Amino acid sequence: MSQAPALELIGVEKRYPGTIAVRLGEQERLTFEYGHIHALVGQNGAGKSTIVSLIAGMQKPSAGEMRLGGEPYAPADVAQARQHGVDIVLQEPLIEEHMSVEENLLLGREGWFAPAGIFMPWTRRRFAEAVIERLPQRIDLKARAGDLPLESQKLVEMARALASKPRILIVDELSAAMSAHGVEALQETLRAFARDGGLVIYISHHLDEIVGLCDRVTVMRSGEVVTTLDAKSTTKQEISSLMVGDVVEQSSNRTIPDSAETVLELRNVSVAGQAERVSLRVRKGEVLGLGGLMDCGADALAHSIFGVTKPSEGEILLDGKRVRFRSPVQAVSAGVAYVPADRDREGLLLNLRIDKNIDLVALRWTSAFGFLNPRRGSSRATTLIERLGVRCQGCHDLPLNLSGGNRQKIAIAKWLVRRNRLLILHNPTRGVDIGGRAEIHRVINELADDGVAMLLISDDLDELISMSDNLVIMRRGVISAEFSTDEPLTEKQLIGHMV
Amino acid sequence: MNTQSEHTGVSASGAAAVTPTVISPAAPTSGGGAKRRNPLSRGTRLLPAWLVPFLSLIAVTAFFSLTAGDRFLNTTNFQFLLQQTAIIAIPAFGVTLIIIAGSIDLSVGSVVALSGMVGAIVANEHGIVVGLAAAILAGIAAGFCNGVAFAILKVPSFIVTLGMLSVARGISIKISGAQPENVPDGWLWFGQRPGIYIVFAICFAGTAILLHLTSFGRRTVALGGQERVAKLSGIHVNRVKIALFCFGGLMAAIGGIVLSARVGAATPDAASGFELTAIAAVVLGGTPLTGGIGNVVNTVIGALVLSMLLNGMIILGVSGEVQLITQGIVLVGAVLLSLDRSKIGIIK
Repeated sequence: MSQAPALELIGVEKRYPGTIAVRLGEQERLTFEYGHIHALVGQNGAGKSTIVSLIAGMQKPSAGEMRLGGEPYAPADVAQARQHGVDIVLQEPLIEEHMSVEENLLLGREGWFAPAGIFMPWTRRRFAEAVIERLPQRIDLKARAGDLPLESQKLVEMARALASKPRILIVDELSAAMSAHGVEALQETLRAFARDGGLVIYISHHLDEIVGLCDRVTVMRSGEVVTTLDAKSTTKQEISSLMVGDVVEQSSNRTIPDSAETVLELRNVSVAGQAERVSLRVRKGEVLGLGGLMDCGADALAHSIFGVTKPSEGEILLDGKRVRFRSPVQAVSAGVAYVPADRDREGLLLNLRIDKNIDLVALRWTSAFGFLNPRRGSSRATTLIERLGVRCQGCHDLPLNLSGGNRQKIAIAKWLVRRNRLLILHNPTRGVDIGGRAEIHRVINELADDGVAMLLISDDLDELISMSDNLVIMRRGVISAEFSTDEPLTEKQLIGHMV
Repeated sequence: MNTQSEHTGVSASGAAAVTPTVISPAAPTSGGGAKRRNPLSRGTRLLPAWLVPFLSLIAVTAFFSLTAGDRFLNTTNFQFLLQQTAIIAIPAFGVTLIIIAGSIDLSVGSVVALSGMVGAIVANEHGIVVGLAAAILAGIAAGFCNGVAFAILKVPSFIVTLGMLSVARGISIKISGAQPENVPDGWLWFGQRPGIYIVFAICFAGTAILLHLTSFGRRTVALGGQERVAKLSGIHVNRVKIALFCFGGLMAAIGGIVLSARVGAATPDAASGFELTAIAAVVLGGTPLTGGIGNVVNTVIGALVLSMLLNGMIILGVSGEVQLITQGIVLVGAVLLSLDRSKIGIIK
């Protein structure tokens, strides 16, 4: 083929303070061809989303160059990328919920139907109808976008992207929480787009889906491109072993005696609209894994245990005594700790020194008549930083300067100033590199050996299988399966109970 | 008139000339070059932000020393400046904590007037000690109402304190019959040397200790940094909010006592528009309105810059309207210089 490839990344790097998210060798090339659905796979934090954000003009590479059809390509922002025919559909919904489907479809494209800033409603309607016709599914233009199910919202976004007739369409993790029917409609749309000569860059965690849908697969690991495979002649097993590399996963080899006391027990706990009649038990020193899709209700359950929301029915027992926490304040007093999934917005304060972050939870116990001893706070923090292996410039550093894994360690460390009875962890290694992940897993195992009961909620099936002593899978608010990890489990077994 | 506008012109360009020297250490970071060499560098990026208040203080001092000479640079004028600073800074201390917590207090001016008035009336009837207690109670009560409406009833602090701005002013006009109330002689101690300095020092030290060395201070910072984090860390968010506004009320009350003592009387229209002066002092001191960051020293510096600016312009004979214009430009200019836009996605 003498023609220049559709898109080419040469020696591209992207650095953040403390981490390198994407790292291609100096002359290393990553190429994409028109007419292909090209998958990018890799574990969380492998750099997939960063790569596409560079292509879509959301960020600029720190080094290296991109070429579009052989020409240098350096979009300053999303709008410029769009002018070059590159459009992206993101993982997070980009829908204005209070607007109608019609308004959403033409968001940012007002120039089409309102050349002078003024438009007639019927003109806009005509444009919107032309746009939505491309979809395999009918969606009511007058519906409020926020009322649509997730998959229809995604379809609306997809139609919006397709409306500007891009040549390259990037799709970031669409099918994470979608019904089989919705996924099919999306895939059909993508296939049609590629058949018409477009290039789809597709990020997904569902390897089954990739093998069936895509033409090529690029595997990434810790910011580096491992290899690019022909999707038609590869297998799911091959891809997943390339994704993981040869890192040895730490796994628990604990045995929890039946006599171990129960720390947390839920009896038929329901949370209005999100979880229904869930019963489970976590014993001293046990890690109970809780898995499921995004809206399976695990999060709501964690919130109800921690006193953020009130359960609508059922009983929560801590050490055999019924508790009704009205706020996290009471849960914390009772020795319950919660490390939320969104560490940057819920777990820690990025602009506050590490030692002050760590002190936040235990202020009541470390102060005398409300007065603090900053020096003792720093030495507590230093001890914890060392124990968890946080890589930073010392306890005066800001979490802002740390990588995801080290931030996560701080978000955990702040609960370790005091001894806790129960620790709830939500996605503790999301976006954390493999090294950091192993270290966090080591901390979890140490805490379990120390007798802390843990509830581990995770989207990461490997993590669930390797870290938990017992496993509970939830689907649409109810428990769909329970496993003991004494016998070997596969991801496939678990997924079957999630969807 | 000509010479006056010339002066302000010089002042504006003087401030602009400072800009490149302040910004330059940070410039390579945003360019990416420095970041590559030392990804964990922290000081360089924050340096300009916290230097700006000090530099503006130096710039203002230098400017008026050069233009007004001895009329500005003499001990009597500095005494006056310091007292003026105390009057701005004391209520601004309360506002500082509230802003660090991510909220705002627009009612300060009215609460200053209300507590001064209550204090003066009660002091004339029942003696100074009771008067002082009454003034402080009035301030804390106003702050408590603010706090409860904000924390429990969940009305945004901007609106709540806007309401209190009106209510407290109305009450002070009502109880005074729209007449000034003279204060008893002993009361005057708080408005003269050394009384005003002692009060100023106590308020300064108290606020600094509260912010830096108590768990309440930590919770305040956490609240402003990200309320959700504070809540999920087991902090009684509502209690902290109410206590904060009570503290704001307390500081406004002390401000009211000092102001009425300095004037010799409590007037119902005292300190009108003062809430904006207090906020300006906090902001000039470099405390961002977004919360989570800030300290008390900076507020003192902000207050000093403001009072110097006013005092210097009066000495130079700058007309009132030009004073207002300059004040506004300096305020916006200081924020322009100190704001680190690379870290803020959306500016509202």
